[in-house]
Amino acid sequence: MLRRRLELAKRGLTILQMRREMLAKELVLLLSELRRRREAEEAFARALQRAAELRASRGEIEFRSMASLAKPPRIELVAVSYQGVPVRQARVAGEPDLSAVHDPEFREVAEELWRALAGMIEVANVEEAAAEVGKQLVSINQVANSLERSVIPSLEDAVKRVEEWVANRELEDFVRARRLRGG
Amino acid sequence: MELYAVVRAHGLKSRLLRRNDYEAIASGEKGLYEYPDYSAVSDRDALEEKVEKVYRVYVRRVSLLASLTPELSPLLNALLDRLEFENSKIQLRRLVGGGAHALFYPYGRHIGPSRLSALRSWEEVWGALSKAGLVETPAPEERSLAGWELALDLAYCRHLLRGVEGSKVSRRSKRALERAALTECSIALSRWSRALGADAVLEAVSGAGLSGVCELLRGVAAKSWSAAEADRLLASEVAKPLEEEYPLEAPFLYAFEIYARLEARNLEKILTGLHLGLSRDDALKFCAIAL
Repeated sequence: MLRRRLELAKRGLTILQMRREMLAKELVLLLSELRRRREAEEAFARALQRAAELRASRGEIEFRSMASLAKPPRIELVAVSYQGVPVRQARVAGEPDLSAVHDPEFREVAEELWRALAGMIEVANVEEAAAEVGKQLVSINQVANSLERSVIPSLEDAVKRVEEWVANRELEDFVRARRLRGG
Repeated sequence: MELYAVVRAHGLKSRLLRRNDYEAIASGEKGLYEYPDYSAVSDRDALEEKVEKVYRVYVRRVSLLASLTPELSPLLNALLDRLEFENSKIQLRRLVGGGAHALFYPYGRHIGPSRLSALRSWEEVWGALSKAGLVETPAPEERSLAGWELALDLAYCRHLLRGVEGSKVSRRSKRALERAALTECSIALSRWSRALGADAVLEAVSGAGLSGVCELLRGVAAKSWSAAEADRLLASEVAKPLEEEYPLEAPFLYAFEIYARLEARNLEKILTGLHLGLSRDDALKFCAIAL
């Protein structure tokens, strides 16, 4: 019984170690994608500054009126699996409609702003995925460590103690049997 | 009365903001309310309230001059009516964009923002302008917003030229006013060449019977001026020559109207810039400071 539990714990640890490795690889991949964050933030800041300058150069009345022509994008939240970890992700269900914006300057700024915002959404999705995968990794690590450092050694210890006890009993039985035979 | 109005305009011009005033406002050294004409503008006002109050000052100044000189009121009122045409464009954009809350210029000698905001189509907007006597032709059969807006700009140019024509001033003054109005129209219309192409704009202008504008436009249509550059051109190419050549005649009133209009636009830009947290220099760089 104890041996079976030990075997099960060891098999579980192997599986958890494999999963840990997979999640760690996924996390490294996600973190490497996050290097784009700075670039995306800079592009977003540039687009915002350009929009602010356009707003100041045209004045509030014209800006607001022209801005009302842009139909906003549709963003949905969907669940996506990263190595079996469910992560909420923002997905662009519909691009913004700028067809009515006839002023070339407004259109350029709106397009740049959307490109920058779409970049930020991608970065936010990667960040969210990295956070969730990281959380899962921590949790698996805790279980694997507990199996590795506590459960398996204590089971091994118990099996060893039982084996020693059984060996002692066998030795005692053997000695007793010899005495009886000799006497 | 013309001379009296010109003298009053000189008085009003002396109260217009100068470069150092704009700099003080943009840097936060002075509040706009510290200037007597803008005492109604409070720091606690929302941006749209501030902008509305600024334009009320412009409308009040020009309306005062229009009421003082019946012989020049067709021109001065036509200049003010630009806001009515701009409000029409705002309403059309609102209709196309899905009816979001819109910010209108606080002017309504003929239609006014509240009536305008109840109109539901291009035909209704044009019909209201037609009923008010601001346009004289049937609604052009345009399908796009750009087409409607260009049609409104062309209609405004015709309205402005009718205003010049209807003013009772000397032949010399009328010639100067006409030249100034044509230059202003060509500057305004040339900006359409970026969106529609220079040839399309020239064709539309010529189709609208604005031959004088067409001639001027041929020289400038290829230029793609920014809004700030167009404002600066208005000051240097229209207002300044009128002010220098006709300091005591009717054309000075046109020059004053441009300075007052630019002041309102400059303040709108500075207030918007400050609202967005732009630096003093960034807030000032789009202004057309003529005085």
